[in-house]
Amino acid sequence: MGNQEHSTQIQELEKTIRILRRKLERSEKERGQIEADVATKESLLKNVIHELQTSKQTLEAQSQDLQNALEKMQMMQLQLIQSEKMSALGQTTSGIAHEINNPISFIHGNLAPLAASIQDLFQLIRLYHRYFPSPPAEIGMKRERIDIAFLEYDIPRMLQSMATGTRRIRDIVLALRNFSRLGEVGYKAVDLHEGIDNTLMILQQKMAEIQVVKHYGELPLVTCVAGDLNQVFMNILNNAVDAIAKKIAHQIEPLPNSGMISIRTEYQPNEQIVISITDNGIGIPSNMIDKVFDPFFTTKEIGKGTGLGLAIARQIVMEKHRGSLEVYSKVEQGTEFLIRLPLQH
Amino acid sequence: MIIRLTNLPIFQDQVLSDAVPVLLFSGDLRVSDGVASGWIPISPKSHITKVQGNVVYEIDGQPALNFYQQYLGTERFAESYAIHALAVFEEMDRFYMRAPNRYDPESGSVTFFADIPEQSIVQITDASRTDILMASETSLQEAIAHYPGNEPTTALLVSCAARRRILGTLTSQEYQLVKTHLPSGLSCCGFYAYGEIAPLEQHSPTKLHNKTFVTLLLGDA
Repeated sequence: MGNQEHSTQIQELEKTIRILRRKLERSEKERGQIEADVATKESLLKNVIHELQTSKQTLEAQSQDLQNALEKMQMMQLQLIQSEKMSALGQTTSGIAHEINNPISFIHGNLAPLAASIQDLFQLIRLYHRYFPSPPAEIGMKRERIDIAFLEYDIPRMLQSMATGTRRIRDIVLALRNFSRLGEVGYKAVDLHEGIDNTLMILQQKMAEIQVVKHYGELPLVTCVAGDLNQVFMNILNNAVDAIAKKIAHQIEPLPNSGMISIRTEYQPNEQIVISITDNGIGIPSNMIDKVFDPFFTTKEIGKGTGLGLAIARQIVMEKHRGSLEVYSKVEQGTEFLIRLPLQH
Repeated sequence: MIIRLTNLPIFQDQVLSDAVPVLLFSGDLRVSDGVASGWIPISPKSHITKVQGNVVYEIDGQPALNFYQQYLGTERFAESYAIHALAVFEEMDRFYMRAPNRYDPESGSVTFFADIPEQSIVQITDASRTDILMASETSLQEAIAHYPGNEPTTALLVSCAARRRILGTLTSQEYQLVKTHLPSGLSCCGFYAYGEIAPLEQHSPTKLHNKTFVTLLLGDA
């Protein structure tokens, strides 16, 4: 190999090295660029993700605010409906009370003097009979026909029964007025048993075939909004009646008078009043029990229930009286509503 | 000495500098076009609050440079910011791209390739290689779909230089992919550009774009 060849080879190698070096330089430059691109992209993505997280949190907070506002609005709506209902009821009952009380008072007030007068008349007839034991045939026949002995026995009983009836009407009117507590605003110390009894009285017709068992304990007067608490009793008792009716409707051979509602009250040493209202109706399936207090939740047919009854009840117990309202239920066995009220709010 | 042909126009048999070659067509010509980028707006929407022509001073009341550096970091900012163009929204979901090409730390301004209107809604963008390739296909399909004649005879393809930079070793795929959609025997040529001119939507006025792949199909009546 000559020097010439060597130097040619060296020149070629040098050229190759130059080319390779340039390629390497270019490649390294590109690598640098790619690294910069990646670093920039990484920063961009990190920041965008961070922003998304922040905006997600903001959205969640906003959605929570909206939810709260919605719940507040629903509650305000409930309160409005509630006070609207109570005021309508109050107006109706005060009208009824006024219209019915007067004529019933005449009737009731006249019953006792009427009974006395009738007694006088019978005494007179008896006197006549003693002194004129053989009257003309026409009088004798009339005596026979009207069965004077039976009338003497029956009329006082009829009057007695009428007195009971008028007393009942007066009680119902009073119960209606007490129930709505028209004119009473705010908290007052009341006898809760009276409220429960008034409510039962109003529901009497609906509950005709249901046996009501009361286990009333000794209760002190409780400071509360009486009209509102009556509404609670009304809503719970109404549901109890419906639950019993549903169970009986489902029975193949319905047992009449098998429905029972038991009401238990107790004053606990921790200054708490406990009222338990238990029915032996159809019960609430476990998948629905969490929803019974939700506004607008109802299992009743369209038009029959508003889905507001228990929501209103819970609101009255919890928010107005700082108490609690719990529900326990077994399908086909019945449901218990447990109201706990502190003596002082 | 290495001559970088991309920066020097060739006219007939000469290599020129500081020159613009012009090619004119005449006659009963059928043309259609398509434009797509593959760049995706990813930041929350912002407003251009201070701008003079193509120099943006403020975005959402902050210096434009801060806006950019907040997203891209300061470390390798200078080397890569040009990739992340602004998507400028014309309507709710229709946008064109404006790529930055200069910035001034003193005034906090960022200068773009072309004007951005004040109060425009903008978003910073990012691009991936898959999106870029898909957009090239979209651009071509759009041109084919709107071609008014029977069959085009020539296709002119203009791709932004930034696309090539991101595609790297996939660069050749862009052309291969496009070719699969073109009728065989169709003449095809193109170049990499630093700004493309085309209508954003069919029959709308032409405007300057960045980061796009523009297809122009030509044929006779």
